[in-house]
Amino acid sequence: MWMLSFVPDSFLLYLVNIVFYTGIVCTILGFLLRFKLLAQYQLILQVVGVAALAFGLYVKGGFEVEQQWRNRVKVMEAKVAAAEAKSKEVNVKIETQIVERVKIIKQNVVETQVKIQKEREVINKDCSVINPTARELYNLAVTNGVKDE
Amino acid sequence: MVSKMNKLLVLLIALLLNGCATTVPVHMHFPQVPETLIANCPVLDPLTEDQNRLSDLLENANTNYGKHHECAAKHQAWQEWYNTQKKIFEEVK
Repeated sequence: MWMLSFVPDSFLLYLVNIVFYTGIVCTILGFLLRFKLLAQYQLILQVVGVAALAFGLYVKGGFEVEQQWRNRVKVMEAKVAAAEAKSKEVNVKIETQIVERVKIIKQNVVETQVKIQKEREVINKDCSVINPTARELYNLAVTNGVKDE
Repeated sequence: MVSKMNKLLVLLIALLLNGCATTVPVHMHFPQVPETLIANCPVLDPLTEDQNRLSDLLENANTNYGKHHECAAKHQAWQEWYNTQKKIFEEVK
């Protein structure tokens, strides 16, 4: 049945209706109406009518189911499109937010840096020099114990 | 005769199995995370040998804390991004 998805709806409906209505007409002509002109074809009409009607009915049912699936697919596609649009929106929003936040963080770092530089004399007044051991331990903390290679 | 019947049987089975094929025409892919959020955290700066004053230590700490805050903000944004996108993704059913 999946191959039907490649056939356009209108064409499929057209074919199904031809088979179905041919079946109805042939059945009526073969069983209910008795024309002298068609008397010799009565058996053929009956066989073709019943076969076409049965097949037409089956295919019409299949077509309806196919239509239901196609409608579901359309609904799903619309949902997916909406979700993708929303997702892109969220991406842009979060990216803008983070860029803004990082900018503020960097500004704050610069501001603090300026303050430290301004107060350099006061900061270095009492405490003299950082000795190598202190520096080594500090760097150990900074690098989390990983030494440069 | 048997050979022809076998071929016909194979064809028939192939046609019947065709009916079992299911197509899922609608897909939604999980979105790509923005590049900003998956960048590695910056490496912290150690003190160099010529930085031996308390003010140098403060400057260095200030720079490193800034890097930490930047990394934390990105991590937080990543979490927010994932939770929101997951919610959107799960809503499509």
